[in-house]
Amino acid sequence: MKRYSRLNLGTVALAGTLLASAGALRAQESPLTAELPALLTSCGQSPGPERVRFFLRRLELEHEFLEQATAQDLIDRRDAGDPFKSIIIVTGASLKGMGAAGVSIRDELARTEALIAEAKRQGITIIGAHVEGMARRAQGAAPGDNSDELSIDAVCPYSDLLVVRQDGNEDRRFSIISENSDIPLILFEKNMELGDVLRRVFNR
Amino acid sequence: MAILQTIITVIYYILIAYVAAILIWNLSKTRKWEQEVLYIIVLIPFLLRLFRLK
Amino acid sequence: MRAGSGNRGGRALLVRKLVLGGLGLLLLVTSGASFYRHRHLQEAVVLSPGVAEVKKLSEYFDGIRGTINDCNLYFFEGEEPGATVLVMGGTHPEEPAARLAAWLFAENAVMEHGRLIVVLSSNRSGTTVTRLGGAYPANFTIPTDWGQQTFRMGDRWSNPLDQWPDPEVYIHYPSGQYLAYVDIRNLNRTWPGRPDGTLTERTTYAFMELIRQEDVDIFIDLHEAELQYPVISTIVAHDRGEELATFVSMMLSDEEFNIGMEYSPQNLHGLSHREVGDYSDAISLLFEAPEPFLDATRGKTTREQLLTGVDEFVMKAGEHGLLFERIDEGGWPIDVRVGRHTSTVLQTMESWTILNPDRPLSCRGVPRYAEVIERGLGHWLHDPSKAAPGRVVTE
Repeated sequence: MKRYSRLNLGTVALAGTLLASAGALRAQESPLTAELPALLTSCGQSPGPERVRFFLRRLELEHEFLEQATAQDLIDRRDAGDPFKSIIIVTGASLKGMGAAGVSIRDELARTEALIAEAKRQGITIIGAHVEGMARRAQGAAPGDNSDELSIDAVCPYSDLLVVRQDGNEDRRFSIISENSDIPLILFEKNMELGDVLRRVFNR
Repeated sequence: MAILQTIITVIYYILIAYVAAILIWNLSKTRKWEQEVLYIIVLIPFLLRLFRLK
Repeated sequence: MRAGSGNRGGRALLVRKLVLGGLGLLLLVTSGASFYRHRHLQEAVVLSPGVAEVKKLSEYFDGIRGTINDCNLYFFEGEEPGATVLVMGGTHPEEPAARLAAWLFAENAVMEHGRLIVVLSSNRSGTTVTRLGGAYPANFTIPTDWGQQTFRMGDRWSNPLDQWPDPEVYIHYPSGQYLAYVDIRNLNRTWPGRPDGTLTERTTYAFMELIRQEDVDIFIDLHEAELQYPVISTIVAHDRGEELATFVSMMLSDEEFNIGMEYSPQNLHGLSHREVGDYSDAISLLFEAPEPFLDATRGKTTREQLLTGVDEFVMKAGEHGLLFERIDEGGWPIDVRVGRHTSTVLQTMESWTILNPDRPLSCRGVPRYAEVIERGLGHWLHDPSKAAPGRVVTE
């Protein structure tokens, strides 16, 4: 592909997240919509939230990104009179990220559990996301390291909506959670389609 | 700091030359062929460093 | 005992010493000659038409002048103004794809918008030595359309001939962090450097001066990693570069090959992706590609393994779940690794331009991933004997 075509592709891909162009949502139009402002956070400290944040910024969707968001953050925001209406928890663990943050996977799981409990108390829509594909699951983990899977189990069965990159669902991990817990699942194929997914979820 | 590092490096090379000299002296004095072979094998990297080849 | 037999015994001893000494001398001379040839192998660079100027690193810091690390800097001026990007190869000269990818820019790039600065031998001292006890080949050869080109194989650290001895513990300046003693000769552990430090520290200081004085917007450090290392096939980004790196990672993963993104840890000091971003206004990024040659589980340490990445032992390690990147019978050929880097650099320029349209970067003439694989990287290495006068320099 020639360079100008590639530059145009990138521009169009990015523009496509800003305009009402048709993205290739694989499963269905968004089965559940959520409201803003959104809290974006991680369970496992992987770089996955950066991908979500990239599009939230481009789409100018009101949000706050806290890598280690706690239940208290939800309470403080509610008490300030501007509560979060939705929370996006990006799953997938990074030992490097957790090390840099000074936390273990157990810390992450405990924080996330409390966060989800408070979100449910406040009626906040919980969106569980896994956006980095198989590289952020068993393929990318050291032998014996199941922290990716632990983070998925801590978030996805308790979510109101799942947003997953298709190749991360090769083993139907997320499909099974969706079917067992009756949680809508949105699968997207290409990274640049995530913007369109978010646009539809937040009804823009 | 740079001057100190230079001094340390010079001392290091003096040590290398000293050890090489001792090895050569011992090589000349020993009467056992096994020790001669050992001294030569040990001497080679010292000379390579002294001649700034490796 | 008769005096004659004593004389004969003494002569025999002398003869034996002379014979053994002669054999030792032969070993010394042949090995020494090999090391000398390696250290002084001349690598020709045929300058791209886009190269406006070749400077020396010492022009930015006099403390590196006259040393082996006073390397070449290749400056490309765009036809239109824009941002400035620095592409650095040779930080770890045992990672040849990193150096060769930068080489393709030096011999082919023409900037349309913005400026490009290319470094091929950022740790030139490290290119003149191989891993002690590692049995590395001293050089490797890339077939080209006109014949072949030979490059020095290097090590991860500066040559001990240029910087020695190592301390018991390396205390990083200015953080005070304790690092492995040998990493005092590792260019990617001595950032941001200091003017009165060791050769390696002075080298990184000189590069920081270059980055600051030339107002570099994006700093890219090219690397390769063993498949047993978790930071592989990824872009490591400083905090200010996370958005750009995310965009590049997503675009490349959608269109060309999978590449991830990792945050630069704030508490790990000495690495370019941390310190260049902290001590300058540049966004600092580090790109990793897979190199099975570096894996501890590798089989034979040969030129073939270096250039093809085919290794049954590393594959076996993969079968036991010990690797962070896939490997199969096809290995990881050098063309694939170089192509990943050239595409990542080009995509970085394009993604930057989309995010910063008022300060564009665009480059032509450099092949992307699929092209490098299809035609071989040697296709883009040019014949120095046919180059115009004054358009060939040596590394």
